[in-house]
Formats: sequence, structure tokens, C-alpha cells
Amino acid sequence: MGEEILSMKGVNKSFPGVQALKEVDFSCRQGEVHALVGHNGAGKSTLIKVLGGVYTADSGEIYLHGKLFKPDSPLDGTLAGISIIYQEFNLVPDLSVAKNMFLAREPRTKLGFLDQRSMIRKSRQLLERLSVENVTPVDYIRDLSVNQMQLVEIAKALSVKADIIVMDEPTAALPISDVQKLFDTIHKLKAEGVTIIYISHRMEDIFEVADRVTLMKDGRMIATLEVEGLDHNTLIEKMTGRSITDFFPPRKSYEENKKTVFEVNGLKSTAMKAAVSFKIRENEIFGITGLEGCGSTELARALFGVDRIESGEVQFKKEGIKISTPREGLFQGFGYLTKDRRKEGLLLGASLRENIAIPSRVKKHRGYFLDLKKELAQVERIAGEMNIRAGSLNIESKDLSGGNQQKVILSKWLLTECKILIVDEPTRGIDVDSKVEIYQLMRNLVESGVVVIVLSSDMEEILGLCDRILVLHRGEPKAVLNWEKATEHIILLAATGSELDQDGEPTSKMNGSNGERI
Amino acid sequence: MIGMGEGKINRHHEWTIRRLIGAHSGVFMVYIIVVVTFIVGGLIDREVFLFANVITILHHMTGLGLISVGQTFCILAGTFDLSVGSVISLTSLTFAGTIMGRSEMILIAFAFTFAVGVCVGLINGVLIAKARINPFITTLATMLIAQGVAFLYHSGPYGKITPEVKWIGYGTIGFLPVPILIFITVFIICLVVLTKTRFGLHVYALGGGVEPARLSGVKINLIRVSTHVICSVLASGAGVYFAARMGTGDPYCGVGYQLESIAAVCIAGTSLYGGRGSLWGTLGGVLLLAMISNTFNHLNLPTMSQLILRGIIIIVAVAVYTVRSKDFGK
Repeated sequence: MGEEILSMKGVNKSFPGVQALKEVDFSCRQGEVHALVGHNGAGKSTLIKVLGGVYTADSGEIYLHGKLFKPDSPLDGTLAGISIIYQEFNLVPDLSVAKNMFLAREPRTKLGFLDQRSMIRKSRQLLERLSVENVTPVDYIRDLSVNQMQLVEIAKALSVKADIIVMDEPTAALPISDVQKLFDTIHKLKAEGVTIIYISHRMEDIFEVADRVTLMKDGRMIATLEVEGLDHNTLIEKMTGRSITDFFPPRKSYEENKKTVFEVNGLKSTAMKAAVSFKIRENEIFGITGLEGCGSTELARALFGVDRIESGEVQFKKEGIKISTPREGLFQGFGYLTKDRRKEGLLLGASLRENIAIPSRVKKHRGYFLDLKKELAQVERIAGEMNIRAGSLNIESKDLSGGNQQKVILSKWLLTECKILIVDEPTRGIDVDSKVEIYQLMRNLVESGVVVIVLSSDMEEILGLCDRILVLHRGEPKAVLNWEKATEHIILLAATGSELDQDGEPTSKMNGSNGERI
Repeated sequence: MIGMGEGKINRHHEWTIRRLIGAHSGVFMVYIIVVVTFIVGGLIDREVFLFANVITILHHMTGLGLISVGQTFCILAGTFDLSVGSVISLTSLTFAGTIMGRSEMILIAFAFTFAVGVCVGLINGVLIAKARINPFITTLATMLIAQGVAFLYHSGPYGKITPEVKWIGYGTIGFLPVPILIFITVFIICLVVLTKTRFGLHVYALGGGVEPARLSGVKINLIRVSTHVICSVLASGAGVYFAARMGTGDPYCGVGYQLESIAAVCIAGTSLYGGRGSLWGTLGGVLLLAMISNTFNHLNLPTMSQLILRGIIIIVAVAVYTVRSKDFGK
């Protein structure tokens, strides 16, 4: 492994009311993949923003290639060879791939005009170097998939000849089918001597790509460990003080004859590619999974009344329910935690209290004036039960961490006393503690008789949390598996379109199952 | 491999068609509506087709055109400018008022007038970029202030231009009127700036996403201020043009242009949120609005029905491309 390329010493950074970084020491060797892990609010993002010149540290020093480095602006970081790929991407949707790659560093002709040809040529070379398929330099960013945007970001980083590429939760938004492609790219970059700082909540990622891992907690650096020789459990225990077995609440063994409480027959909306039917039995967490484009979100939207229904029926406790707008969904007892919590789940500029209270107001309030006192008491109760960690209920929801935002959304549905709760990627990009709490909540809810439908592309979550799992492939249901039979292997087979028999075995001949439950 | 190659070619091909029609459907639509309006107008009243009338239409375009081109910069960068109308009124007065029939004052009048434009632009830009006051509020306030200053300067028509200045409004080079040539020149320069330069790309980038632009190293405050200065300076140019046409300054002459210019920019699909659109769209929008007033005048429609029809045409134009574009319903 190469020599030390970056070292940050005694970095402090505080924001009004919080000290985000406390005497952080962090260093990287050339050509390594260095994972940075820790809860939300542990200071990882702040650390990389200090590194990239977005924030200026209050004190402390950064050495790059052994020389003191003091970035004042994001451009300084970029020019020094540090590229940060943010989780929410740093691309302008309405500009082409080539223009995004060279934004603020555009090549110019002798006359001072943009050298579009050279921009296109250079970006084509970079895309080819990363073996990016189906993206041309003249495509608009808005037309690309998440995976493609990420590759464009990486290409952009390479365009400045970055020695250090920071990736913030790169797999959080990726469908599983594309995660491996990302890892291939990372291995490729590493082979070319690029140093990668890899921020992630996902343990599998770290074991797959990282050479070393640094743990952060509450703004401090806890430890830096070699990944080789480290096992899953040790790492998780170090991170959380919890062992992996405590991660998911325990399940009862599968029982054949349980009562069906929720039934969907031939449901199809205008956005869905095929009609879907399934049954959910009492007290079970029902999981729906598949690769990107499997149509699970469309199915959830159809159930909640977002998209127009073409055919099919939905029954809850043997009674047909008809929903054609989200408002009707709310009134019929549905709750829906959407995939994109910032765009669809929260009123970002409104307080936490407003966010929690609004659906219940719509559903339950009668009369002309609101009883704000009573409402506040209810909101306080649920926020307490959900263990939302915020200074006050009046904080704007955009200022909360991902985990707390997710809890706010769950709280608002729980307050409506929903009977059927649909959650789409409930733990994407949130910290481990919140994850565990949300898993436990799901379990408690089904025990109390609420129907819980979990849509997830996180295999660990699907296998560890759900009692039965519906696998979709391009909108068509391919298999329903009970948890004792489900393995990652079988799910992937179904998700890629193989036909499975009733036991969840593929109908085509195959030699045993290599899949193991996580 | 051969298969892959084909795929690439097809994809590229597809992109070209999409680029021509899909991404710019609003622009196409506006030009189609322009042609339809022209033909319908001409069928009802043959005079519409006369060469002299076409020149009149182009004349109509100049004032609104200059303002709308400036407005395009602001809108593409994600803001807009409500103060342009007042700037026109004010600068028509400062221009004609400074000259007062004295040829030797022309250069000073130009300098003074454009300085006024630069000042208003700087104030707008700095308030929006640095003080982070919402563009609507900022430019609404400067609109009131500039209008107030104009009235303070003179409550009615004031000032007198000289024959040289009159040439700007009425002269011709060959068969083409000078104002149209000025507009075409400004248009081409701005088109080059927006599509061929770093500055232009940064205007689009800023409008398309403030955060990505900032994190990429685009000097967003500089771009914000510059777009507002360009907008106000072009509005001052329009003020000069109006003074040259009327022979005098008028504190009322710019009233209404702020909204008309925003309509002209957005009618062809340039996004009010910034980042998307083009000067070609603005040109189409200006042409359409000029065409409509011209045709309506030929048809002798009373003002009220003109207003109603204008409103309807704007809605129809925007609705047609919105429904057609694939973002609809997303």
C-alpha cells in the first residue's frame, strides 16, 4: 500500500450550538479505499466538507502530499485533486453530461469561447475509461438513471485528475443490480492509484471494497482499523455497541394457516406494467422487493390512490376498499412513507410539529377551529414514543437528520391511526440506531394488528425483517416466499425473472441453493 | 460488437430528434403560432401581408425585444426582474431630459442613461445575491422606487431629442430600419454570450441548480449580479429607443413591460425557475406578441377584446407545449 497522501490533524469545527468535529485526526494512504463510518451526526459529512473546502475548519491542519493545504472554496478542493461525490449529487439536471463534467473549468478556444468539441471529446474518453454504457456526452443529466449520474460524477472527478475521490453513501440510492457495477468501478480506480474515501452505513459495502475503516462518533474519531481480519460483528459492535443479532426483532416460525387480513386482486394502475395480486396474513410484515424498475413503488402508489387505477380490487378484513385519491387513502386507513422523504414525505420548511399533525388534522378534525393544545399534546406524545431527537418540536424538518426525518413521517401516519402502513425504503441512508428502532416499530405494529408492507431493495432488510416476501420483476409478481425459505440467491433469481415453484425453488433445474441467509 | 455500435448510432440519432423537437417543442410551437397568426391575419386583412407591415411588426418588436432579451438572462439564471418597466420610463426621461435638443449632450446623455441602468442592475443583483432578498420582492421594490424617481424627475413628458437621435428610432440602412438592426445585433451578441461562452454556461448552470453550481466552483454571486446588470442595461437601451421614437421622455412609457417581457420569455417554454430555455424562444415570444398587436390593430379590435385574446393566446401557447412535453403529469 502506498504512502500517506492525506492527513488531517486536530481538526475542529463548530456550528452554532453544536461542535461537529472535535480534534479529528484522519489520514489516507495513496491508492486505498478508506471507509468512513458512523451515525448520522457523527461528523463524517462535516469532515469531508472541511476537506473539500466547503467549510473552513476552526482549527487544525490538513496536509496533502505532505504539504499544508488550506482550501477556501469548493474550487480549491477540486483543483487540489479532491473530488467529493455527494449523496444528492452535484449535477445540474438541465445541462448536458459534458457541460456538467467541466463546469467552472471549461476548456476555451483561443478566442475565449467555450470549446465544446474538446469538452465532448474529453468527456467521451472519460466515460469510456469507466466503461459507462448508454451515456453520451450530449445527454442531459435529467434523462439519466441514478447509477448513470453517479458514474458521471465519478467521471467528473477523474476529469480534474483527482487523487482523492470522496463518495458519500454511494450505494444508498443505487438499485442492487447496479451496486456491483459501482464496486467494479471502485476497484478499477484503486488499481489506477486513486484514493477513495468511502462513506457508508452499509456494512456489506465496507467488507466488499474497503481496505481500512475509520469509525466516527459524536464528532470524534474512535478508531481506524484494517478491514482484513475484521469481521462483521466486531465492526458493528464497535460502531453501535450492539451485536448484529439484535439488529432485527425476533420472528416467530412460519405458520401455514393464518387468516388473511389484506388482499389485493389483479390491481393495476396506469403506471404499473402488470396486474399484481397478493395476500397478507395477520401479524406479518409483508416485504416487496425487486431490482430497479420492478414496480414496487408504482404498486404502493396505486394502493394509496396516487396513480389512477385501471382494474383490480383491494380488500381489508374482507371488505372491499376503493381509493382513487391520496385523500381517500388517508381516510380509508392507509399510511404511506414514500421513497423520497425530502421531496414527497416532508414539508421541509414546516416545523416538525406541523409535519406530524397535518394528516391527522385532515382525517380527524371536524368543526371550524383547531384545538391546538390537544393537538400539541398528541404530537408530543407520539414524538416521545418514537424517540425523535430534536431540540424542539418547532424545528424545521429540513434541519433534522435522515433518521429523525423518517421517524417524523412515521409519527404522522401513526397519529392518524392508520390500519395499513406502506413503507418504501424505510431505512435508506439513516443511522443504525434509528434503523433498529424502526425495525422494532414495524414488528410492534404488526403485533398490534396493523398491516405493514415494506418495500425495500436492501436485501439484509428484506431477509431480516419481513415474514413473507413478494418479489417483482418488471412489474410482474414472480414469487412469494416465506422467511424461512427465502435466501438472497432465490430472491435475486426471482428478481431477475426466473420462474419459481411454490416452495420458492426455481422451476428450472439447478444444483442446490448457494444462497445464505444474512 | 456490431450490435452495440448500431445501438450507439441509433441512440445518437434519437437524441438529435429529441433535441430538435422534444427539448425545444415550446420554441417550435411558438413559431408555428406566429406563422398561423400571420396567415390568419393576412387572410382577413390583406394589408397584413404587405412588406411595409412586416417592417412595422419588426419595429414593434424592438422595444419589447430588447427588454425580453435582458429578462431572459435573469430568468435563465433563476430570478426575474420586475423593475424593467420603471427603468424604461426613467431612462427615457434621463436621456431626453439630458439632451434637451443639444447635440453636444448626446454622448453625456448616453453615459448617464446607461449608468442609471447599471446602478439599478447592481442594486437588484446585490440585494438578491448578497442580502438574499427574494427577487420578486427586490425588483418589486426597485420598480416602485425607479418609477417614483421618474415621476420626481418629471411628472409628464419631458425633454427633447435631436435629429441625430431621431435617426435611432426612424432611420434606415438600406431598406432595414435602424432599430431593427440594433435589436438584431444585440440579439446575436447575447445569443453568442449565452451559448458560446463560459459566462453563458454558468448562467444556465446557476438557474439549473444553485447548489451544484456553487459546489462546482461557479461564482454564483457574480453571475446573479451580472445578469441583473445586463437586464437593466438593456432596459435602458429600450428607454433610449422609446425616447428616440417619441421625441421626448415619458414617465409612463415603460408601464406594463415588466410582465409582458416575462410573458415573452416564458411563452416558448423557458422555465420560470431557471436553467431551461433559450433566446430563440424569447425571440419567438416577442415576435408572437408583436404579431398579435399588429394583427389586432388591423382587425380594428377594441382594446378590451385585444387584452382578452392576448391572454387566451398566451395560455394556449404555453398549454400546448406543456401537454406535449413528457414532463407533463410527472
